[in-house]
Order: sequence, then structure tokens, then C-alpha cells
Amino acid sequence: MIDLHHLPNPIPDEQLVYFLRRHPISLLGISVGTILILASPWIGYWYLLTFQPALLNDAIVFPFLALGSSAFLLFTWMFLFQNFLDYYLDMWIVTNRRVLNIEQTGLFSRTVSELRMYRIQNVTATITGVLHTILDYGNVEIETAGEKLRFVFEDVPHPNRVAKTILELAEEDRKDHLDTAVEEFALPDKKK
Amino acid sequence: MARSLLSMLPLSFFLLIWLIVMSVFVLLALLTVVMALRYGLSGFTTYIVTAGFLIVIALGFVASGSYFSTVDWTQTVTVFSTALPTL
Repeated sequence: MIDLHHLPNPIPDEQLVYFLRRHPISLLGISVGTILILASPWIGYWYLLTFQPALLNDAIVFPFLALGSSAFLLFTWMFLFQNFLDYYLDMWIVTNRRVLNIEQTGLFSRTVSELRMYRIQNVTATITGVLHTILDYGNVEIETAGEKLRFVFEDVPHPNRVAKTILELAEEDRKDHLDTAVEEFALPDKKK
Repeated sequence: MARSLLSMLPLSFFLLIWLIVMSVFVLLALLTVVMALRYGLSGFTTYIVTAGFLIVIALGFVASGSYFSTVDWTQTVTVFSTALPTL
């Protein structure tokens, strides 16, 4: 399990600033699906009772319906839960020293990447769409110098605030890692 | 005049298929739970969500099992019937 108080590969003086997931509105589809799947046995039973009452007493057909529908419902429930896990296990952790990007794709594909704050050069917040604007959620893109490494926080709440904080933290961390930052950005060494 | 070719299968044959499918389901559900507990955030929510997932599955199995226990599985079903012309 991931413990926010004991992050992997801890760095001295590290403090948690943000723990981010996609906005809960992205769970709307899964929530509607869950309600439908949990209600469907009762809806199905009501339908048979109203329109096909003979089937309920059929010694052959009804067991078939029960076998098929129970398997369908259980597999659909698991599919919905796995979709929820895709949301739940995707997370972005921002500390004063680094950014952790944890992405779950399907059940067996997981990517954990880390970016040190002083390496961040550009942070962009994007809010596109009516719902995104009303609920204030969108993407935050983090870019580093020199490389094509790019982190994207997808559909996180308050992207502008997050982007501003990350830029400030990067600036602070760069002061603490001036020598390393100078080397990485290929700027003239201040010691020369 | 026609000769009937009938294939009669016991209803329990379909229960057996259902059990095989459910064993695959149980395996996948266990893997899902392992992933949730292994990579989820340490805390109450992860346990509650995983417990909710398992409770609904358990209810599904209990409801199915209690109905299936009332079914007479020795009945036979005609799954294939064709009429062959006779000479």
C-alpha cells in the first residue's frame, strides 16, 4: 500500500504538498453504471412479473435466465470495480522536493515515475469545456528542460492553483540545488 | 414421415458450465482485490471500497445459490432438434 507519510525513496526534509486524483465528476459514468447494475435484478424481475409471468414458473427457462443473468451481473460488477480502480489507483503526489506520477492502466499495467522539483522548467494548466470551467478542473502539464519528459495530471481539481504552487516549489528547490540545476540546464558554471 | 434427431442434455450440464465460468470470475475478482490492497492508498477508504466489492459479490453468490438449490437439475433440455427425411 502507498503510505503518504512514508513515500517510496524518501528524501530528507520532504513535505507533502498535494495529493491529487482526477476530479470525482469523472466517476459519474461508473456511478450510473453501478446503480443500474444493482437495480437490474429488480427491474428484470418486475418485467417478467408484469409481461412474462409464465416464464417465472417455467422449470427450464427460468433456471437458464438465472444462470445467465447472475454471471452477467457478477462480471459487470467486477468490470465496474476495475474501472473504479483505474480512477482510484491513478494518483499524483506533489512534495516540496519532487512529483510522483502513479498511473494504473487496466488491471496489470502500472507506471510509477518521479521528477525532482529543481528539474521542472514549465508548468501549464489547461481547462477546456463548460463542465471543466464550472467545476474548476483540468490538466496540469509539467515539462523539464532538455528532455521530452512530460507529466500530465489529468482532470485534477483547481489546476491553476496546482500549477502555480508547483512553479513556486520548483523555484525554491532550484535554489537548494543550484549546482545540479546549472549542470542540467547547461548554463555557464557560476564557479568559473 | 420424419425421423427426429434430438439431443437431450441434463440441466446440470449448464450448471457445470456456470461453475467453470464462476471459477474464472473468482480468480479475476481475487486478482482485482490483491491489486486494490497492494497499490491502494493506505487508509480506511481502500478497505471500505474493497469490502463493498466483496460484499456485493457474496450477496450475488448467496442469492444465486439459494435459488439454484430449489431447482431440479436432473431435468433434461432439448438443445438440438432436426428432422431427417426418411427413404
